[in-house]
Amino acid sequence: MQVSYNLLKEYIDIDISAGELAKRLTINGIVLERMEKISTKIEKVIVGRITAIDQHPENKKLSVCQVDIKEEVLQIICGAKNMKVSDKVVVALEGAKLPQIGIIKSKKFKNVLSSGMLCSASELGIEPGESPGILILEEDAVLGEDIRKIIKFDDTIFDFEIHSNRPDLMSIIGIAREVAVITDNKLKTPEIKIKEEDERIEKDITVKIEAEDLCPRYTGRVIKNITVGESPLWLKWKLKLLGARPINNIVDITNFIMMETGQPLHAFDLDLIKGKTIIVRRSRTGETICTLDDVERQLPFKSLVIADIEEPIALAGIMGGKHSEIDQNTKNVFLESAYFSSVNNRRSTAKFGLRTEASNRFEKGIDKEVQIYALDRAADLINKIAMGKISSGKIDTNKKLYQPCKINLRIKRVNRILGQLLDKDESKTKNKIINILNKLEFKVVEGKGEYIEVIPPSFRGDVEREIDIIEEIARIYGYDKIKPTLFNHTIAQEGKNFRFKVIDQARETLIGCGLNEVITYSFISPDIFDRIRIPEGHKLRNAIKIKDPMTKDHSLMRTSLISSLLEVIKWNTNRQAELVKIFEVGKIYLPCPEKPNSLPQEKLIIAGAINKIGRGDIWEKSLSLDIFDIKGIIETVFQGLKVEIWEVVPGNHPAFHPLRNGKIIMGGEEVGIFGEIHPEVINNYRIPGKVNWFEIDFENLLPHVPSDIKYCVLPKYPSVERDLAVIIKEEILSVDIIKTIKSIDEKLIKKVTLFDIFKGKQIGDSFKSLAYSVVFQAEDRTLTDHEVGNTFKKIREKLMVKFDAKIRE
Amino acid sequence: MVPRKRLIIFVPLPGEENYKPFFILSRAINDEEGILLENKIKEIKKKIVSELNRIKDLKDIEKLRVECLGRRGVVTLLLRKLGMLSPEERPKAGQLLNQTKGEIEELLKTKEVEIEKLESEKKLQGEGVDITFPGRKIDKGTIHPINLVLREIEEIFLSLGFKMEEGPEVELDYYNFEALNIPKDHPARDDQDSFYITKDILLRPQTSPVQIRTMENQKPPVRIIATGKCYRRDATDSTHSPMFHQIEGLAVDKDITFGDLKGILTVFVHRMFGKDRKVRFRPGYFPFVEPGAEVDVSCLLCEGKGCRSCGYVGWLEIMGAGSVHPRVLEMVGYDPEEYSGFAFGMGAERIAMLKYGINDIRLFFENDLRFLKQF
Ligand SMILES: [Zn+2]
Repeated sequence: MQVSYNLLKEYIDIDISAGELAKRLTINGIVLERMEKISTKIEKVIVGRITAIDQHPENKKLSVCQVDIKEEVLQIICGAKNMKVSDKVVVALEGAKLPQIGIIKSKKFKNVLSSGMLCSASELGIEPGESPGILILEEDAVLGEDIRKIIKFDDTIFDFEIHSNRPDLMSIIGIAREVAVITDNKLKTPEIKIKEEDERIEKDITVKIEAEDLCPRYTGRVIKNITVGESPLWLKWKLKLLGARPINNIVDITNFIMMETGQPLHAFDLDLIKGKTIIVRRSRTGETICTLDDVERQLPFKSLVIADIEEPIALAGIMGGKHSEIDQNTKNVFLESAYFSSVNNRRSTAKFGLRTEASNRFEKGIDKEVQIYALDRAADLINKIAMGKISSGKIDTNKKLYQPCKINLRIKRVNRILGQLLDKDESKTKNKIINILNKLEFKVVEGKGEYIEVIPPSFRGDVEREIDIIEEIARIYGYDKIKPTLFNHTIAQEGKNFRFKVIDQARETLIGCGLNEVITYSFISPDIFDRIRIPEGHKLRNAIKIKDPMTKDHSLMRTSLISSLLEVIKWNTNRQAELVKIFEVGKIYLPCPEKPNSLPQEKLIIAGAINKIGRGDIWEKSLSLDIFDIKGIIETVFQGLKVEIWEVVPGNHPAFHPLRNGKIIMGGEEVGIFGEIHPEVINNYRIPGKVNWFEIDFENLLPHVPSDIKYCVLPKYPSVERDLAVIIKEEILSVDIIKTIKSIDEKLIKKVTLFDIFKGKQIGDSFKSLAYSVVFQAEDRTLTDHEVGNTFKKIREKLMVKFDAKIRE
Repeated sequence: MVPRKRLIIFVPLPGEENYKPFFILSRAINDEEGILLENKIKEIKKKIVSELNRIKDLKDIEKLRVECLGRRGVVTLLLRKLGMLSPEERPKAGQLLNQTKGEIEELLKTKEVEIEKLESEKKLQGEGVDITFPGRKIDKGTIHPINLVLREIEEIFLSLGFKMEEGPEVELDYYNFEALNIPKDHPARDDQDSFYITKDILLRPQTSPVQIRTMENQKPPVRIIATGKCYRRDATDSTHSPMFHQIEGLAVDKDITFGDLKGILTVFVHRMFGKDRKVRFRPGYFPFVEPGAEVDVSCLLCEGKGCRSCGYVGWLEIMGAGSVHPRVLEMVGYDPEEYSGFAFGMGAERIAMLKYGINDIRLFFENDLRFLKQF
């Protein structure tokens, strides 16, 4: 809500500066969004009166005016045509300063001297753009008076942020009421003196309400014989201060009264209302309306319209129709001041995608009692400014819309919620509360002892229950006066549960492994599935769709982190990063196909990726990162979490190199995947070098993470280590060799470590030689050479039989 | 006349070729000869000392040791011949020889240690490295600045007795709006333009639904914080992002007041931003709290004097808060006459931006390593 300091002063005496006022209002909850000091460099501009107009002898477009400025009569040449003899006008004298034009000098126009200039509203900085003619002042303007006495050019504009629960603040009077609370001065609302003609309103209009639920009150007046024209200077200036643009006097008056009172008004051209009847009803199928903004609109079924006997002529509370618009030819108007239901208004606004100053007020809820005040205030102004004659009588379909409600307020409850009394003395507290409520125009009925009865004013529809009143009391009393306290007692609870702790531990390990944590958007584009080689029909393609996404990139919720992290690698390699090691702890979102209306499954995934293209430093240059670096990272994470039992089987994820990816299995369930991203995928992302990837399905991992540690007794007897090399077919997996070795004697064989691999002609093309060290140890004795030798022999024999292996010791 | 024997022993002496006799030790039984023996021993010692001075490595020491004390060394040979002496003379000569042997051993040992020291010093001299080469470090990774801030905030509230909770990001309209006193067609719904999945399911625009889910699942007292991702239909620019993070807090108990809200959040601000920060509470509107409050902290840059970053007001808005609305308590089945509480919420990005002086929210989600590695 935009308003100015001087404008507010017309409604309330203010004895503090604009800056102080803004600060006090902010502290009371009316937040200042913007404050702007305005001043116009206008000098030597005064009121004059035209005494004669002649055509310029050489240029027909120019007029030569004689202008009385009290002390003398000046000859001024003017290009405008909208003035007549005896009009009061704004004269910029020789040497005058104007904001846009600068300094005015006398000069000759084709041999005729012009001593000054007649000003338009835009030249004075009152109106944006270019005004159609010069500004004609009201008859009562004082001849020779400085324009700065008529308009207070030096002012401060406030722009307040209005919360949706306080629509009453979307008006000058509303803001002035809050100022009154601060200054303790009395609100001065403009007085209205309606001059009604003999002619009755009923002669010209009948109003039928067919949708009372959506329009509980409808009031109106008829004003005849108006003169549509430019608004007077004072009105134009006020509209400027309020951030509105002048159109014509009738529209300007309705706009101004809306901003003054908060009640939206609409003026119809009375002569264009067919059948002299206004029908407030729901729209019918197939109806259309051309609105003031020149848009032909399909009316949604059952949205509230104002219609005549033939068709809708306005979208109720949103925008008028083009057909009954006020223009230069309008003679008679019907002025509407209604209360439309906020719910209907919100729905219609949403359907039309059309939000106006009026609809914005209706949808938040306006004062239930202000309709007649606003109607009469506007009628009064139309009478004064546009010379209209007000027919006697008015339409009012429901005088009792506002039903005051009584709310019980317990003084003790105020104390209970805020944590303290407003005063040490309980009865003084009560007085303070009553005082605050009175300031806010709440009626207070002294209750019996424990509580008081409070009646909120009609414009405070947001106050419905005791707590709302307590908030008002706290707000005006001042939040800063409420003493900060700490909880009265502690509660014993575990701050971080196991799940959070495990996440922390995994994150710490990954950081320790040199990975940088990233956070990427949960949204993906449908294009990524092709890019990461997910075939049609694959379950990963079944993603949650966002309704009306803003961009294609944000249209699905991700089912995999692969594209997210590849984008990060691409971003960094594009910026000359030579080594990218990243991870993310983030969710994927999987729809439940069997229950389409239930929430999706959200799975926490820990994923990481590494890519190296640069040489690195002296030590790193020889190291290329491969699948075993990434596998090592997972192993380290598991080690940190004390997860010991898991196995790896070859994987088949389409985004990976077909022979370089694996699945991690725990208790028969897949807990993660790792491997080298498919070169085609890398190419699709234009990433140089290889990317190795891991991801851990945190939800599947968590049950396998031990929550406590059990100490194992240290071995008392020495261990014995023996090495052996196994020549086997290439396709045999190392893990199977290790398992077989261990199976010979689970108790004695403590550790089997692969320490070397050899391939070469000597052992044959499709063979490999794997070297293992085997550690033997018994818990109850020192092993003898004989014992170890026997077991070792069994190992050799088993390997030879099972894998057709050749053994070298 | 005492019978005399002339004894000639050939012994190699140190520094000479092996087995080449260069020194004949005459041994006599009589005094005269005894004296001679003594002289010879002295001579041996002298010779050894001069040899030792020449010696430069451990190998030569060992050789000398063998030549003197080895099985066929000169001292050993002399000792072996002691038996030829008369019984009276034997102890004296034996003692002399043994003493000499000890002295030689000592000399050899000393020289050995000396040479060892020299040799190891020499070895070290050849082992120089350029200590300005880079260390073979594991480049430690970094936590994302948003998570860094979240963790710091969590730590503060954990220490104040709060418990961490979480909730779904794809949420029911009911938990996000209705249960938070924002029914359908409520004007406050305009304040948050959300991403909808279906009519009743949306991406949560705030972490507040966790409040409701928590209260539905437990009886008071409640003291929780919840952090996580939220989503709003905002086009990306330097201050807006369609995805962001929030921290939500809730405390409900029999005697919680607005004063407690002020106290706890003041402690929070002081721990997060420093003891010197001023905290301001002013009325604010959120449908699920009443009285509602906006919490401001005195500007970190200008100390409250007013500058560009605080819009010349000296205060920075950091969170929304308030006493839990009785209707919210009613909806989860808590009796608002018996229980009261407070709730608060803040944006992690905003806190991080203020704390680290970051001026563009997009940096958090671009994940440029040059940015990330600063945290
Ligand atoms: Zn500042």
